Amino acid sequence: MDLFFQTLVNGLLIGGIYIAVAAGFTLCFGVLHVIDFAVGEWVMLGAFAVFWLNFFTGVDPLIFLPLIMVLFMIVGYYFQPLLQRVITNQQSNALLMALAFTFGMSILFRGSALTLFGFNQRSLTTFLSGKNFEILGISIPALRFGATVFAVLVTLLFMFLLYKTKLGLAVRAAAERQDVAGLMGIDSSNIARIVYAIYLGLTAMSGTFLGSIFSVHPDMGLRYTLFAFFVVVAGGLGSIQGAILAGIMLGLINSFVAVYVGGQYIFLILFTVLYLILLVAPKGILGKGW
Amino acid sequence: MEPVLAVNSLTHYFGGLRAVHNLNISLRQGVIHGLIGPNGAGKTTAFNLITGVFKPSQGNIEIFGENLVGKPSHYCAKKGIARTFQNLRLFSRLTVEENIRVVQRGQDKNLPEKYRIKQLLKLVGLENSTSNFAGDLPYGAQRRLEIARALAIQPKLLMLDEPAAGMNPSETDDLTRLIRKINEEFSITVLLIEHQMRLVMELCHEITVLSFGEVISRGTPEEIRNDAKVIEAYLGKGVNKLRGNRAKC
Amino acid sequence: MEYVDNSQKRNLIWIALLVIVATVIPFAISSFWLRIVTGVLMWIGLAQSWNILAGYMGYVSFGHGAFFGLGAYVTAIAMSLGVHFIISALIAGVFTAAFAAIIGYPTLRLQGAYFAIATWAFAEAIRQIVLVLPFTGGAYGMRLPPMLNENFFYYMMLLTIIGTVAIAYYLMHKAKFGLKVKAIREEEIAANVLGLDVTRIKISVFALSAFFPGILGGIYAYWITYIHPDSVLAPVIADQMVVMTMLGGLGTIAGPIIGAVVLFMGNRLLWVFWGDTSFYLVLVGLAVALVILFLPSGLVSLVPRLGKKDKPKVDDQPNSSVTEHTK
Repeated sequence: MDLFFQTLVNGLLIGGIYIAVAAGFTLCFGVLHVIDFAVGEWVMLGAFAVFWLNFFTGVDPLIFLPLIMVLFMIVGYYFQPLLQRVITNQQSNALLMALAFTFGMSILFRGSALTLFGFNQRSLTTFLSGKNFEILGISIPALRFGATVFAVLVTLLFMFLLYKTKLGLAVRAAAERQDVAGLMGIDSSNIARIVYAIYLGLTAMSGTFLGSIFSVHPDMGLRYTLFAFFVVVAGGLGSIQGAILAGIMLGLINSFVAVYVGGQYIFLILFTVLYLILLVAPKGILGKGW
Repeated sequence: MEPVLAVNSLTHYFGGLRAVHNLNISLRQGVIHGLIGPNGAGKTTAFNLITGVFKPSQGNIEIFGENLVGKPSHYCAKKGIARTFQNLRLFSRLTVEENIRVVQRGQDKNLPEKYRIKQLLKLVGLENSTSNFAGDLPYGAQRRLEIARALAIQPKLLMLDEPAAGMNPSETDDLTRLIRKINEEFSITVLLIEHQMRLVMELCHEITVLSFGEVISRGTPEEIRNDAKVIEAYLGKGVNKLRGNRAKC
Repeated sequence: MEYVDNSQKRNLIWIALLVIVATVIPFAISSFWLRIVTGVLMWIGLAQSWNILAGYMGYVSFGHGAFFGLGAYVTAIAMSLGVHFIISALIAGVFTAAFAAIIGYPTLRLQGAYFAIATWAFAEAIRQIVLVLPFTGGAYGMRLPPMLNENFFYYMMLLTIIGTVAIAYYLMHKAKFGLKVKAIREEEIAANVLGLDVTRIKISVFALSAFFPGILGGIYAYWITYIHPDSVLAPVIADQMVVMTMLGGLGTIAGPIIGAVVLFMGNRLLWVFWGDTSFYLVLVGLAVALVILFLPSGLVSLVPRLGKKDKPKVDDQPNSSVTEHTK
């Protein structure tokens, strides 16, 4: 029974981190209507950025979190027009072209990282690494706990922005109908850039955590692309509540399969479940997606 | 005589929203029937239900006595229902000629004369644009091409969803003549959704008025013109009352 | 229409020349280059298969490599049971086509990005299944009886590729079937409402686009004699199908051919100079991004005669064209 609760806690603690990625990703889809195939690679780039900052300065990786977030928000703000160009360039099947474009970016990023950094794995050590504390006989890794608390806080901040502020209203209007939002005097192209910037900032910041908890290597992206897809598809594309639920579900599946079935089956089960959810409930388990 | 189309107590919900409620329509052979009503009255939804795009929550749809509920769209087409779309759905990157050819059943040369590509395009005045991409045609021409494409499947019933939308008065007059011609020369029954009242009043033998998914009136153009409920629905006086009724259900 | 007749004649002469050149190639070049040319052929077939689905029908699959891998494994298993190679490869093709038809039925109900993700997830799931199945050798893979005759594999590939391209050309450009497929790409709902059995057409196209990769996977397995999940089921196979076709030009016959030649040759050149290098991925990624940004119709659009794809013939006298079409 101890093992069960330990697994449950581990699962919840992993799931919390995925929520941050999923929240940005799903908002990005809601406004741009583009699925970013490179999401895992952005996680990887975030992890590498922190790795090198830490490598050259020796300062704790977690201290760099705000810097990484700002850095990638700037990248996102200036990268988005390129993506926008693909979307507006094409008269027909623009969204599929955009999908293929992000697909190409993911290959480019992975290839660049492999070429520059090689195949080997690197680890990030933070001041929380290796520390545990115990509650009711269950040991809780401090880093995972911190990461989950962070993810939940960011998501809450995010929801607050989205539902309680004027910017949030503009974003939601843009997500509903870009043309109408434009008529109401909302600069939807700038909104799209801001949303993409937020998405990249959150993704790269999650990369810092994921890189510290697991490891940093150029091939890590695929895994997180799968996780991001899993969370948003299971949650329903565009639905933030669904993404939170699915993020927790993902963490639980991960940890229970690893303990009770075997680590080599995780991907098989996740891919299969993802495929089945798409077939059975393409609007997500809550039925709230687009 | 058996009706071409018989719709009985058709009801459809989107989530919790009732889009069509207890709709009954019966079309005799050879009529032009108008389906009118304010925006959001459920007219296009009714079209989508009849052509199998959506499966109705309740009710019956019969063409020549055969039940169509649950049948795929292409089956409805084979039974003789053809339609156009409110927001054009042409095959943009196929040529005008290909747009027709792709839906024809059988080889062009084996079809009855009036259903051949050349004749259909002449009918809608597009005989000089055969090899243009459909997407490159001017708006009015695209609307007419959609009608020609619908005729190409040799339907018994032609359903037109706002065929005159975006047309100027002279184009609308041409369209009125075209629809009448189709009705008479091809002996095709027509069900049409339209906002341009001049066209509706001039063409239709009978009219059904929908508001918030329900039939509020039915009759000849003359009767509809003088029906207080219809005027209310359009001018908004009774809209609040109807809203109230709907919330109660 | 004199013009069409002439250009058709010219095309036929070109094709005849190409076939003759292709037939004598093994006697003219070293075995090193023969292997490369055989590889180019294989990729032409794979890219063309993907193009049938994505270019003509508008359904972008990011998991089409799975059919190649399945074909390789089916062939390996059949041959390990003593079935002749040619029969095994055919079984592989039929198996992957049937398999595609079965999974296509639910999967093809998804649209756009959902379809792309589903195919991607499906392909990865297949790879994971092969890793744990008892009769596929897991991560170690399977060995096939060696057959060291480069010419044989070259001709096998050539034959399959001629078949693939010819069938793609006939179905998508000559037969009415191609019009129906393109109608689905343009407006699926309208196609369905106007009487096209969209589900059946989509499944047929999906099965067809899986049939050739199945056979090609079989030939590849026997050629390379050793297959494992990271070789024949690697994601990079699907990636390259996508990239080659987009690079050359979606929805054209010439596009995937040009894309495959350019990209595979580039890959091999890189390999000759630097060995196995991940820098190739950089080039692939850049190529996709640049093509989509600046040349969305692909390299074929640089060659007007090849890039004309669906472009209508321009008539001097519109009226005469009506008579032509309805004769």
